Amino acid sequence: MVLGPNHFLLLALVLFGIGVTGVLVRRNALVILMSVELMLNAVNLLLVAFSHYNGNLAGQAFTFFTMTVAAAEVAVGLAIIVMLYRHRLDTSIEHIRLFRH
Amino acid sequence: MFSQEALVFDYPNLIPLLILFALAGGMCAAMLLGARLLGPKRMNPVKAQAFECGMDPQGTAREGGVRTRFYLVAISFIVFDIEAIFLYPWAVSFKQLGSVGLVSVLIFVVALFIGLYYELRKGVFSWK
Amino acid sequence: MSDASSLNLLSLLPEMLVALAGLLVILANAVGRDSADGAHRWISLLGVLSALWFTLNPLATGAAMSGTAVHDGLAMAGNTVILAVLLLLLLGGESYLKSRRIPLAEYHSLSLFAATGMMSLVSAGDLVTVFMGIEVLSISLYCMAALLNEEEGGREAALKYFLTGSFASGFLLFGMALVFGFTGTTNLDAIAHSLTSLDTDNWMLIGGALLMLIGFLFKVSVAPFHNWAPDVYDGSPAIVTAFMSTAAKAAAFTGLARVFVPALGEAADAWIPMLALCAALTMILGNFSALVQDSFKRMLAYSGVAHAGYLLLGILAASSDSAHMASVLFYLLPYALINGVLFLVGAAISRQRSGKNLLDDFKGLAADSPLLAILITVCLLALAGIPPTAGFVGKFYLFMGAVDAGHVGLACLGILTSVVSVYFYLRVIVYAWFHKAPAGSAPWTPLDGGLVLVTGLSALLLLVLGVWPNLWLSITATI
Repeated sequence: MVLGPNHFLLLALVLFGIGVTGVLVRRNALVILMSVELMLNAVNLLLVAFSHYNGNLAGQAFTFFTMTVAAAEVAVGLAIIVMLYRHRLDTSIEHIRLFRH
Repeated sequence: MFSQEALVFDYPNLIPLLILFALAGGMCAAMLLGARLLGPKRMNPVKAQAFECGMDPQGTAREGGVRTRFYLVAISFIVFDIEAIFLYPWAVSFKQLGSVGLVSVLIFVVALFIGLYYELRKGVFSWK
Repeated sequence: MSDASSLNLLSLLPEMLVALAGLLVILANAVGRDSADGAHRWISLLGVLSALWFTLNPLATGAAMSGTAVHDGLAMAGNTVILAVLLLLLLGGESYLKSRRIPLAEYHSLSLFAATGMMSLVSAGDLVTVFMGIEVLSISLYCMAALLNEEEGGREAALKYFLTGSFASGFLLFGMALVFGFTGTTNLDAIAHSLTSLDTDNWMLIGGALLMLIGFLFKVSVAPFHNWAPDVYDGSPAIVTAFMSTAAKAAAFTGLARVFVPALGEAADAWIPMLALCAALTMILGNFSALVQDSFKRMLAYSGVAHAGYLLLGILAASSDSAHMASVLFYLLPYALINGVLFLVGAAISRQRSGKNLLDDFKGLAADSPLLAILITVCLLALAGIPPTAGFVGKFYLFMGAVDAGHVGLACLGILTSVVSVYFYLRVIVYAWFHKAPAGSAPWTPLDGGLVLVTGLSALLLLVLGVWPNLWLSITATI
């Protein structure tokens, strides 16, 4: 089987799409956070694949930075969600009217 | 736009891997099924109880939950664990990067340690 | 490649000084006792002032760190705006921080780290630097938005800001990956260079550019990606709102200009229609939503959305002639100063009345404090774009640039919506001068002297720049 860049692109698009759908559809802050992580990891996959097909390491170096940023984002996000949880005892965002007005 | 060759996967070389997967999966299934089919089941209330070193269990498992203090340690772990990935590329190309690389990594590590020291002084790791 | 000469670290001195000050604040807080409150302020002040000095009098310029950062006129102007806002908040924000019991060390270090991110974004020479800059500034701001965590609004603002911000980062990053896949490089100069020889009518490049644009437009709160802004600005502490609506926006706009105008300029056909559409939508939605607000903070939030639309006009103009970049950079300084002053002073005034940042809180202000009434009037007139303020000059350059670039319809729309905006800015002025304070309101206590002094000086600067725009224009036009 021959794997071209388009295969990786398709896989990354599907993963990214699942992430976006999760953010837009789910109403639990933790699940939304996981969906965002899925989006970032789809990009990581794409960067590494492109890095191979372009024949340079820029994409792989980029991935290191993406991973650290994702970790920092999770740390801050979890802190914010725990802060909310302590006051409300649930992690739903029903009351926050996200993306709606 | 893309200069490199496509990745080629030839199946014959992958067959041992597939056999490994089949064996691992099959063994798990066989053991679980075997235990369910062959093993006798005699439930009684004492057996169904949570095991607390022979003491009678108090309250429910949900009641205490995980202390929120624990999540701070978990978060610190995630952050410091991931930051370590910057050390791997540096370690691999230690010779080429020379003193510039060494100084950069030292600055990076010192910055991390300032954060760690701050956490320490704020009592993140002290278990009351 | 990694020898010391190509690092050109001296040109990154402002960024390094601000980051160092942030680390020192944390260290001072960890080492010292609670009585060391003053230290945070002095360290921050020293860091910001020295960074500002070395921004305006650089020891070295040009590409640094093997081209991942570039110190040019754009970086200089952007850094100046960011540091000016930081200075304004440092000097004028002390009484606010004390009255709301915001942890000082955390606030100061986070604002310095956010500024480090903004300055890296402004001087980015590589997609990786752009991404890291945006993330460092965003993650610091997520934490800062959560500083008032005893209040329901503050907690929700933090969560909303975090979720929308990280969602936007995903789009930005996906776009960057596609652009990297197409061009084979993440360096902005190299991207621009490779696009001259590649066929730009490729869906990967167009998709990448548009996804990156969506990510940026989220961050600068442009319609239809602006829904988070009013709630977040409203719920966050006023001093944090003052910071994120000014410095963060200025940095994001400069970053947007850096990525799209020089690097993706060859692919302009792909992103200009979307940018123009968003600009039109933003000017209309921002101004008309601001009309119906009762809260001063929300009104300013929508006015900020509208101003993002005006600034997009400048980016559109710059995409056809990069000399117009100066008009974007010019407007960023008065815009940032006005909003910084208004959020700070508005919070201080509201604390004397309802404490809920209502427009009604301004009623009778002139009787209580004519000086503050004059200050508010100057700032609001500048925001409305009425001469002889710097706001007028800035808007004039933006609209003229749009006309030059052939976007006559958009420029007309900008002028029309500006006229609409005069109504809600004037409303506050009328409240301040011609209405009586509500019966039973507490007697007026004078505001903190430092706050009045720095905000007064900022307002004076708006007038000075309105009369002699060349003082600042000469810096922004050196690109």
